[in-house]
Amino acid sequence: MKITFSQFQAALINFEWSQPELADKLSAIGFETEVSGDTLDITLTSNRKDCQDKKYLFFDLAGIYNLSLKENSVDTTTDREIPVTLARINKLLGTNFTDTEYRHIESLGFVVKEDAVAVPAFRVDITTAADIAEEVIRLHGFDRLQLEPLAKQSPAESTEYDYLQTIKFALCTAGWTETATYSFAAVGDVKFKNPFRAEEPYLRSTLKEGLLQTLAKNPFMKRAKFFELGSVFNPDESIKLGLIFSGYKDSAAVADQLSQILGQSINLQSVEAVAAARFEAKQGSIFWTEISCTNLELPVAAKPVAITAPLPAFTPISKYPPLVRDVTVTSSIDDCQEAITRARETFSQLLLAEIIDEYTNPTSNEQSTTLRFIFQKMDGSFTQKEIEELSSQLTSFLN
Amino acid sequence: MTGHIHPITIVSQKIADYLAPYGFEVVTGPEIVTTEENFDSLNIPANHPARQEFDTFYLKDGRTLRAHMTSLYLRTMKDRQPPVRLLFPGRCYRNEATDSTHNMIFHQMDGLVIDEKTNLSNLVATLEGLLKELIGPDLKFRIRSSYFPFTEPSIELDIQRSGGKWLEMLGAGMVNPKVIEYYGLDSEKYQGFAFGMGLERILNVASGVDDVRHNLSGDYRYLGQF
Repeated sequence: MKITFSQFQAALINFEWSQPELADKLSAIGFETEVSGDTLDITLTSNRKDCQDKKYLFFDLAGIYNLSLKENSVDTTTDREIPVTLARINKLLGTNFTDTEYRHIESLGFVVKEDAVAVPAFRVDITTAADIAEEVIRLHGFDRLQLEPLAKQSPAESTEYDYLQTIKFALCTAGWTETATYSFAAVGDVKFKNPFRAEEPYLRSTLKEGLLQTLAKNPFMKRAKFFELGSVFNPDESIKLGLIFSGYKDSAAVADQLSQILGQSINLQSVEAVAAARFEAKQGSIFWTEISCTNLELPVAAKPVAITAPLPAFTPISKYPPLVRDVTVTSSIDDCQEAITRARETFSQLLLAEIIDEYTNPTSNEQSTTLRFIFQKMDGSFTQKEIEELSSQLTSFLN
Repeated sequence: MTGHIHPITIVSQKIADYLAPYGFEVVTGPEIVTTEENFDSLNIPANHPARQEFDTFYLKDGRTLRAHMTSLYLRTMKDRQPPVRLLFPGRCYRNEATDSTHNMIFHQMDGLVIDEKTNLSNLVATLEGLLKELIGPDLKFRIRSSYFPFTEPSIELDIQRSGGKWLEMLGAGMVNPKVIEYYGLDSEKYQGFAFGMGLERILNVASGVDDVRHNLSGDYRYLGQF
């Protein structure tokens, strides 16, 4: 709904706001408003159809902000009563409005009675005591709320949520990365009436395709381990855990690791080259599995997980391909962590630096650690010369 | 050596962590819901214009994908009695065009409290505390009156960004008495609040994530940052 600023000026007498001030005032009372030149673009909520006629909007604005209308043709005849008391309103809002303050809603055409409020016929949106409470707080402003937090209580049990979170965090600790993928598929058991894309008219019946797409999204990672925990529909809805990895020579060792984390034997399946190629996953030696989450007997008790660190600042991702270097060094984890910290200070184009693998030789007891460095350029692809220089600098840095 | 937890999981967990001392139970539930759960039980009857605002995905059998986490309230309340303090994290679906700020699949955290005394002041105090925990302690807030069929009064909570502009963070309100009655409860006796926040919006503001579609991209350059 568009109304010019001059129309407001013409309708209201003691009107002294600027356009942005008027927009703020309207937004505060439920009429979300944007200023565009001399025009105010007002989004009416679906319960305030009455204000499609401007005179009701002007009447509402005048009543709430104690302005006068130059001409008032609004018929405020009431046609029904809603049982409500001031005590009920204060209980809903957490306020201490006085009777005099309560009666201010009469400026909007309401009539306050002993245990009820009579409602003007044009306010078809007002049907309950809660609606009256909203009018009171709209009129007096939300800064009248006496903010009081909820009382603390004993923590509640969140059995299934804690169980699923425990699985996620256990996999993360073991070097797996959680992905989340789209739920739509070209084939499946549950069909849309109104699909987002005609090519994907079904809900997914497996997590496999999304996991393959995740690998395909990261062609720069030869070695990768991803999982997704999400709903599949075949045709009944259930939560499944899908895992996919590539580039690990000893897939049996990965299966053993998963079995220990998940408390059941894991049968891995090799992803055939044809299927991988269909999703343009360029990695070799891809394995995956999908298991039901309902009957896992986790070796550790599912318990609430707490994250104390603040959310990190996001670094924008370049649209150009990254330069990735996985480097194995014979250093301890602690030394490598220190190298990662220094690398972040040294290389301005470094997006990510992290430890992706560690190994202790059982004979020599020598520790080796694999570090991954991901560099990116925001304004173009790396040239061959830049790649060679960066690789050389990285080698010098690690030595 | 560690992998990475998805940022949406992290935000969800941080909200659950913050509200755990207040006794909130985190509830999970299906993504396919009935139209009763998605709309009817939330005071959005078949001919109500608000129903069109959700751009719902319908299945061939008439059921829907949940357009908001509020759709889990009904089945959850069927086997609970007040007092309840509940959180509903999860994936939601709306059949709308995608861009850097919208995706047809997104994530919400809903909260629902019903008892005999929880009020609008408790709601605003809870939300301001939660957003300060997620985004930073120096936030400035603005509350606007709004309209959602399932809450009354309804509010939207904005935060002030650099340059003074206000940004809408979430919608909330006191549970509409008609919704409380739909659960078979006495709306004269019971009251409470509900809120729903987009987890992608939290990531945008708290971490500066510039495109909601990163969350379903599978791109390690994104996932690896969390």
